[in-house]
Amino acid sequence: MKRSLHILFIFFALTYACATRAQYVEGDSLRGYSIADTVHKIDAVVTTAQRRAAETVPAQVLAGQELKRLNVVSVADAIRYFSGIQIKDYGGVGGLKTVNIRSMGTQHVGVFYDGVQLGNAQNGQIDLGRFSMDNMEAISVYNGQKSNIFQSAKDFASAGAVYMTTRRPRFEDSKRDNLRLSFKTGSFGTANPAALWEHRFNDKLDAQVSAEYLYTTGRYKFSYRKLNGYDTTEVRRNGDVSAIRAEAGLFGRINNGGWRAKVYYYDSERGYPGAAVREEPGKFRHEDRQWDRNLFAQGSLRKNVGKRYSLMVNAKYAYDFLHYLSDPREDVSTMYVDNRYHQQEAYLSAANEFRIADWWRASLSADAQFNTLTADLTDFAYPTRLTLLGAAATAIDLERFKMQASLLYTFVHDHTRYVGAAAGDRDEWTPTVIAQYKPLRNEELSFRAFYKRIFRMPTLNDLYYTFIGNKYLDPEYTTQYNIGAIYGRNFRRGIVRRVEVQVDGYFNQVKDKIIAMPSSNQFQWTMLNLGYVEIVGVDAAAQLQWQFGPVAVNSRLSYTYQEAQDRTDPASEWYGGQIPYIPWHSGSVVVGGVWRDWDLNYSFIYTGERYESRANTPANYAQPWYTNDLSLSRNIRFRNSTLRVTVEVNNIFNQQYEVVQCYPMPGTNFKIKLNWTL
Amino acid sequence: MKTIDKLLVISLVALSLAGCRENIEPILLPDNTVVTYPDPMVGDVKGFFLLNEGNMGSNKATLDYFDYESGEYSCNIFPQRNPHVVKELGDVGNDLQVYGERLYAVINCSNLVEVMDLSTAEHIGAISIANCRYITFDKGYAYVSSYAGPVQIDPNARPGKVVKIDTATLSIVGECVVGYQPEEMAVVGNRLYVANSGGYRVPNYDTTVSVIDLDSFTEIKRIEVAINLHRLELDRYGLLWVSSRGDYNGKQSALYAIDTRTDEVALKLELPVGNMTRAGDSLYVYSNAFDKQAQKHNISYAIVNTATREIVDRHFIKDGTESQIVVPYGVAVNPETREILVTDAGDYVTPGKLHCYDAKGVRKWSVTTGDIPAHIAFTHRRLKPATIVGPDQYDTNPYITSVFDYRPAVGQFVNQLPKYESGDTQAKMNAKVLRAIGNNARSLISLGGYGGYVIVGFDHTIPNVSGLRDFRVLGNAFCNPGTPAGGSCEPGIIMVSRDVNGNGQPDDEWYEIAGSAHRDVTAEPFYTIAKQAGLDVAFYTDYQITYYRPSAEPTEATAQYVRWTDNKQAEGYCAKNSTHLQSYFPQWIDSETLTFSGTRLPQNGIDKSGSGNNFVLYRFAYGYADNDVNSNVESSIDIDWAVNSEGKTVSLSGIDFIKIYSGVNQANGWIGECSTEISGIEDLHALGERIETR
Repeated sequence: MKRSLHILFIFFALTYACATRAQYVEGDSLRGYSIADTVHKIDAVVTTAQRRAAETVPAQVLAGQELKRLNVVSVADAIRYFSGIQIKDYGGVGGLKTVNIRSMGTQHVGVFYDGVQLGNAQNGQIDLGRFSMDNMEAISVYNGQKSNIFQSAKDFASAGAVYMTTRRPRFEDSKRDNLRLSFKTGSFGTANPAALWEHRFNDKLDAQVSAEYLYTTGRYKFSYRKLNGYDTTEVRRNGDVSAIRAEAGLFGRINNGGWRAKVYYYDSERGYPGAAVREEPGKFRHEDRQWDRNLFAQGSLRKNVGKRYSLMVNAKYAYDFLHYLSDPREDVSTMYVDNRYHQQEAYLSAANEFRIADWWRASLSADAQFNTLTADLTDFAYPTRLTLLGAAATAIDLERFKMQASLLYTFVHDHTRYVGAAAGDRDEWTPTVIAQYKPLRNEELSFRAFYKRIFRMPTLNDLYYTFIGNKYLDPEYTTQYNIGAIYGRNFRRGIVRRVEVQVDGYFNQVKDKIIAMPSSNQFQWTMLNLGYVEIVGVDAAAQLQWQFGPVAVNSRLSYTYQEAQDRTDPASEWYGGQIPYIPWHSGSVVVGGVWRDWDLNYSFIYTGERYESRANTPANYAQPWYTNDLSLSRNIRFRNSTLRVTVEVNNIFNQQYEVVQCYPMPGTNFKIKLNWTL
Repeated sequence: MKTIDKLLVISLVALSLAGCRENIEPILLPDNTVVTYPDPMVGDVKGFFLLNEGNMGSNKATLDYFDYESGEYSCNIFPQRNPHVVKELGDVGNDLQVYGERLYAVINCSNLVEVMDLSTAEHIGAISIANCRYITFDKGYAYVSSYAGPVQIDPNARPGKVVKIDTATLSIVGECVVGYQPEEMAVVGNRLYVANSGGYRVPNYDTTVSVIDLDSFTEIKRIEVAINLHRLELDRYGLLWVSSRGDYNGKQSALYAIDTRTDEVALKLELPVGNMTRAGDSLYVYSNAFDKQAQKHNISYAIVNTATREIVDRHFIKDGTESQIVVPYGVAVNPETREILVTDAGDYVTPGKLHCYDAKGVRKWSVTTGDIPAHIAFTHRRLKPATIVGPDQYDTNPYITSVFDYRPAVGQFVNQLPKYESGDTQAKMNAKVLRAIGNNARSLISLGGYGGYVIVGFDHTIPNVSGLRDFRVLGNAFCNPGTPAGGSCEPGIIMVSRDVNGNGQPDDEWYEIAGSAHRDVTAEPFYTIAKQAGLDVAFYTDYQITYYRPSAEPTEATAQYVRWTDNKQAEGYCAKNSTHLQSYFPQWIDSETLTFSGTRLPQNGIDKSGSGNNFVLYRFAYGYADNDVNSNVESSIDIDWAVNSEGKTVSLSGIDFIKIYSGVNQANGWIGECSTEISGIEDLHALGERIETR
């Protein structure tokens, strides 16, 4: 039954790949739109500290210069610097990269692009490796939910969230046009030109157009070695990617509000290098290929009506296409698979905020979403899904005490082409409570806590994928308890100018975990609600700003300890085992220095020992890995323009490591980047 | 701010030290467990290999080996024996067969057949075959089924093939196109039958068995049977049993039989088949079809009599342990003993289990395997030990270098471990013991029942290092964790001596290692339940026992075999059991009686079944030989625990001699007397191991 095996493979491939619909866009460019706001402030104030102190849930932000200095290629690379986060990375530019917050699972992470959630009804995962940093201005991660009650119901609807905020037009002085051209090249045969143009029509309307092309051969050497045993070096093949991204947006201002609209298009072709397993070297070439096309348009409007009421409306349409081909004429070891998947999504959201008093606000939001999935698979169910969400929230903001409570209602109705194939309707109520207390009037010290219960629906693949899907699945629930503290302090003189530390401890439960499980043999899998996981963890992050004479140095440390134990079956020999790929210890250090037009940045990422299975045996042991990256930039100023030249070396010590079993990561690699701003 | 600097430095250092990786990963060593009682009388079937499939893309196909003679199960033996085979066994093991003096493993997603030496499991060669599935043999040729036939105009209609390999040269000598996605094969006379599945062509499954003429190696016909064929078993009457998997969705799996004289389907049984194996006229069948609506596996077992062609039994596991199997995934029957082996794939992503049942279907033992244990091949060759690290690898020889005396008490393995041959003297037996347990040879010797002992020496003084354990005694204890922990713990009492007079002989004062029972017998975790079970839990320091040579040697099992008396007003008989019929009285000793004296430990074997078939021998907390698994810390001893004959702690700078004697006087039903077994002693300091004392 290799067929099903293949189906399984594709299933997972999609679970990523197509999941990856690089999507949605939209500039959250209006004042009051949380993130855009953030970015703005960051630019102005330099430090992210104040705003984080204002956050009542654990939140981490990389933005502005700090983000730029990291020289990361994709959003996934940036997120690795946060605490409490695991990135699953299949290696190389084209390899799937998904994020997992506090070990609850990728599908519990809501990913928002300019304020609107990127959906993937098919498999619920977003490939963050496909989101270019070229146009990105801030990346934030929130545990629980953003502590802002004026938001769409979807913002309340995941266990953790990643917000990507793209650049919005800004014009210095009387400039009416901004033009930026950039080009990146380096290891893996990479060429990556990009262009951005912004234009100010008048003080009510700005426009932005950007486009990018990426090509990489995806080739790199990797080694596997055993002490007193084999020592082999091979080349990763069929990891090539060619992708085009194009975005166009309009940004408008109206009385007491604003609006924006954006179209996003992504088109790519890539190869699947496959798992690096034993084979006669060079005999079989992996030639599986995948084509993706993602298009979406989204718009947003916000308006304050009087002093007491604000309205925000978001709307989106998305179309995603995926084509997967495995052809025995190219690779004799595979069987023929040629499948096409089409997804569509329509989404509308309205959020209302009422300011009852200076210290008391309330909000109501309602979202509606419609998804369809078609595929040329035998006996395909052709599912459609209607999701309705309603959220009621209130926030109290006293001088030293803040509290928020929200209640989310979700209704899901599925329909399939064949009678009786659809899962039954679902409706769920899920609450969140957030509180913060600042004990001292003049110190930036506060304590915070939150409780959140939320679930994820089984994806359309989980329920309906031919052979594998199981329409009897229940939702997968998470419950989170978090307490923490944040402290910040500025210094007027001395070497250290600012210190900020935050520490959170948490306990999470994941119930009715949806897992893939073989049915009667390896090649016949199905989805089951089987699994209970308990996670106890500590996330700590610190940021220090230093001044050594003319050199400004910013350093950032993060550390995570997690015990994520499978507690499904007390009778199991593996009960209590650490769940796959979750290290007990992980952390990062970033140190960046600025001197005149020079930027030097060093970063270190550490992932401790972990296991590839909840059976924590020597055979499943995965060694710690750590990478050291270094980059140097210089701004060269011309009369009307600036050229920024960056050289970077990643994985300086050429460590050979895997994040995912049998998917080797690149060793030392180089990059050169030119960025010309006119 | 100074503090902040410090904090930063500390954090950086902490991060970088938090877990440095070893530069180069070591080869994974096998995980060895003694899972059952050794069987020194094993017949032609010496053991079996088990191939674990491992999940696709994980490169975790692994090979296990079970050895009847030692009762030891070794998980993942391939990497240690083949450190230079890149990426070990490979990805998804799909079939395992023995042919001649070689072991063949078909590794599906690595697209190769791994060929190993049967007695060493060392790599001989690999034959690269795309998408290979199963293997069978005839007249010096191997036949491998493969999904990867020639690609035709419609890539969806790609037939499979059978590849012919000359086993002498391991080269491909022919290919024959068959039906879609061929699976198992069977040789009948001069023809090869191939089950075609068509599993990639849902819903247009293949429905045929291909018949290949082996002389011309061409397909001569196709026999129409049913959809999605998989397993083949030929019986003694020329009937070829064929399983159909059904379509997992309405069309049920069923069992068919083809009469190979007429090549027509002779019968159909409405019996779902996941896997089957034949022994004699019995076809052992299980099915593990998944029922989505009920959200569970529908598991069934059956025996089909191939002579009467009927289902004669709906269960072959008879002791009620059937329900403990989550997903049966492999089945095999020992052709000699008819022992039944059933593997359990569990959740497929963690190590599975192997269960062994006797011919009557009563479970004998279970063990944890690799991921997705599936394919079993019996072997007529005992697997040789992997190259063992010899004494010359160390500056100081860490192992036993001399045996001064070996005097076992009465026991079922006496005269077998080591083997007594007519005319052997005490000196000869001592030499055999040295060969077995000296210099890290790691074979087993048995000390028999209470009192039996061995005295060994080393080529240097084992130092007593303060705060550390000093030597490790290797035995064959196995022990399930728990409180109390138990399994097969047959504690031997350890004595040590220093060559004070320097004559190289163990004629100096002996000191006993005071283990946990020496200190407080009531603190043993099993003490209460042993007492409740009515065992003799007394601890004596002045015990003496005498065994009396039987007047005649019985040729069959008998309860009243060797009489014994002790100095505590007890007496009894040692029994002779049916599996060990040799003499239990050491044959090289002439005297009519054997007398032993020393400390006697409380009895530790409890019959959990109440009917004499499930004895658990509980572990003492520490300080004894053959009392805990070799890899556990309590197999190691600190010389500081030594006491003199008055029970006073003594201070020894080192020791030259070790004596071990069986410490418990108890007969445990069918598993026999509690007898200490030893396979070696290691000087931990010479090995460079640091194990802290208690």
